[in-house]
Amino acid sequence: MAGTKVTMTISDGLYSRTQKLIEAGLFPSFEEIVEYGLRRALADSAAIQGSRVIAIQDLRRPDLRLTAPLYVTVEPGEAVVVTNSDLDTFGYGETEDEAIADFCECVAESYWELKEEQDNLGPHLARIWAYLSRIVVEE
Amino acid sequence: MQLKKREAEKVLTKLQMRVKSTHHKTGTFLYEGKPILRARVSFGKGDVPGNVADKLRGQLKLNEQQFRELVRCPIGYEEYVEILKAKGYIGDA
Repeated sequence: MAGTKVTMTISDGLYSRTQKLIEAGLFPSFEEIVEYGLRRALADSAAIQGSRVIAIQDLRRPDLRLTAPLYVTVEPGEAVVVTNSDLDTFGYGETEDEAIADFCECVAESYWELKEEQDNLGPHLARIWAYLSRIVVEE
Repeated sequence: MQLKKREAEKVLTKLQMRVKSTHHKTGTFLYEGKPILRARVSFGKGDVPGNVADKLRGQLKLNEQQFRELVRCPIGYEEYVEILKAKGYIGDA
């Protein structure tokens, strides 16, 4: 893998426990565990920086309109991620604006696809459609 | 967990996600013809950012170990269906 080579010393106990994870097949290599740990630390750091909730009032499309504000969580990190858990939908991008645009596109795709199959949905998607069909109208 | 783009694509192929159009960003997991879940299927250029892979894992209703096993291969379509049944996303009927 391209990147910076790092040499490190860890305790015998930590090494032994790490080896057990590899032997158990949870990770294929020591490098992957270290990379996982570093990425987790970065994610935690983003969480400390704080996510925030904003209201989206426009789906940025001519064919669909929101009847009420849609509250989303904006999370900083490796990518900016915009999420609405009621819709089980997220969008992402390098900037908040890109992430919101991506999110709106995913919401619109869900609207049209769930509408088409509204009488044949499993329980999870039926619940999402019930909410989505209340807050989105066609123009 | 960090996810390479080809790993994400392999997972979604393995789960036989239905994508209505090649430009769509989301797809549908079907069981016996019934739409059960929707998840992200398009990830742009490069590897999938770690926090985005976490969101995909959430949409697939898997814990970290199950998601890792899905990526590494032990979990296939049938095993995934059993997980969703156990979590109540797929009914018995």
